[in-house]
Amino acid sequence: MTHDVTLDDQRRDFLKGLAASSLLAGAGFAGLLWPRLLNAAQPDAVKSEMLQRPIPKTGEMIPALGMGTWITFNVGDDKRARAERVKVLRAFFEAGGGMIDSSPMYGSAEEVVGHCLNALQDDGAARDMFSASKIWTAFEGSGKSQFQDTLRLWGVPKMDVMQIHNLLNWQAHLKTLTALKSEGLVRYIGITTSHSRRHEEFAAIMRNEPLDFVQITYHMDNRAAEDVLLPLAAERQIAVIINRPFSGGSLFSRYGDKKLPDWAGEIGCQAWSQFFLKFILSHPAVTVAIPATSRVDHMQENMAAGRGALPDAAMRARMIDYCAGL
Amino acid sequence: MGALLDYRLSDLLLFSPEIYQRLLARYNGEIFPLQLLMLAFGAGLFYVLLTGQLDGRRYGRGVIAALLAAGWLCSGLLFHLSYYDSINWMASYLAVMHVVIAGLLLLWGVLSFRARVGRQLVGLAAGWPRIAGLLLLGLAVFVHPLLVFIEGQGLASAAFFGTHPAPTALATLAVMMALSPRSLSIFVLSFLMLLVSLLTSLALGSPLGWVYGGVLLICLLFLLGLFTQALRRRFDARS
Repeated sequence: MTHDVTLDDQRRDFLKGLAASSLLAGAGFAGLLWPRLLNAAQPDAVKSEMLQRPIPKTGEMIPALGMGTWITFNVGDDKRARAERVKVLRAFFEAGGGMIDSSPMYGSAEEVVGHCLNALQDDGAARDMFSASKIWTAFEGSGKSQFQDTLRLWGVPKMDVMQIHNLLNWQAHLKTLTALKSEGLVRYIGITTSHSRRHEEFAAIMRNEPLDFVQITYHMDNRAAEDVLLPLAAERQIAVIINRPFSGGSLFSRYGDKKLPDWAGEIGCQAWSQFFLKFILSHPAVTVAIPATSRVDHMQENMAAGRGALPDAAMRARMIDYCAGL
Repeated sequence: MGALLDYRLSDLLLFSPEIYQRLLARYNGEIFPLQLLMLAFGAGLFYVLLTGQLDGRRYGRGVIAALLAAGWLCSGLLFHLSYYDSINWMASYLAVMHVVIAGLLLLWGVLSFRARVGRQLVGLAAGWPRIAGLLLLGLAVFVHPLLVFIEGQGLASAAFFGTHPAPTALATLAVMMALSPRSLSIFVLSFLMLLVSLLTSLALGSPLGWVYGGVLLICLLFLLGLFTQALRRRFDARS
């Protein structure tokens, strides 16, 4: 018996084949595309989970985790390091980060931030950036030109926050920043210190000057800010940026090899970095913490601290007791 | 201005050890083979001091000063101004110091041509400063590049006399210690520049800080010796 293949049969086979191929191709295409779709959808989901905090003076909401650039973004002309920092910044924005804080004191950090922002410009990753930098000069006349340099290096038309670095000639620079704010080139102004021994002078300025932001050091091993500065910031409606949340890495040297308590899981802490950051963010006066890192995995780990539950007062006391006992 | 004095050593370290090592490696790669030329200059310096080839010669001090000045200019203008400046805003000020020291060295060398014969001619100093000076010069020129291994790095980030600040300052201190007459102002400025290298090493956690600390201690002992000598001479003159 011969099997005559008619034109209809051929057409039917062709159509079946086409349908099967389409199904396979469709499945394959979907298989290829699905992870990308997931990845595309995931950052938005992750971003939306990021804890937001209001700036007391205006009520504007900003992500509670930002990023510092001291040491980590001062890489000069090192091409490999620059490429790595672009990835770090992308991970930061993908995780819902907002504030990037830098300073003219940090060598090439501002210029490298500008390079990274430029590299991320096309895909819009940096659209949620909240820019923060500082004036750092002893000379009044140099303050404005330093600000112009900052705009040029970052590649932005204005800055969200400008601060006076470590109170250096703060009387003169506060006038400059107030003028820049009234010109619309700066949205918020503030002062910074990373030295606990200057808290008295710092508090006096907070009491007497119209500040929007202060930047101070506060972490598990240095809670001096709890005495005066943090309550004063809450009273005066000043937003608080916390720098050196890991004490420049020394918290990891001290606690890093110790076991994270089992109950840390109750507030979603999988790593010491998250333990330290959640402790800081759980203080009601804190607006944003700005950990610095040069690694993508550390950035992702840090940013995870901005999601999920925060410790309440009882849990905070437990965290302090636990660290004190180590 | 008091705020400027509020900084700790760790506050002034603006870069990571990794970035600094990579900058050294890039610098070495891009200026090669200048290191070999400077190594030859340093070896020549060591040879003439060891053998006394330039002792009593009128141009001796000028030759020594020119070799050292070349090192200060090269490490100041190339390393500080063209490379280190990209990660440390202090580098431009350090470069100015290098130019000042190079200028002082050249002046010191030129002045010897105008000196009366027999009074300002260069020669090796007497006593332990001569030995210590020669040993420190050997350390600066021949051993210093190898110290990179105690930092756990490869030769790519090695620091050489004439192209890198620390061994250049070390060599100048050594020469000023070994020679007579010497320039105290150049000695003190070189001391301060090595102190900067010591502080940088300490901030970076580099074991080189111990080496620089030891050298600076020897220099302090040397200065103390000069000071007591001067006091004794004054006392003898009075009595």
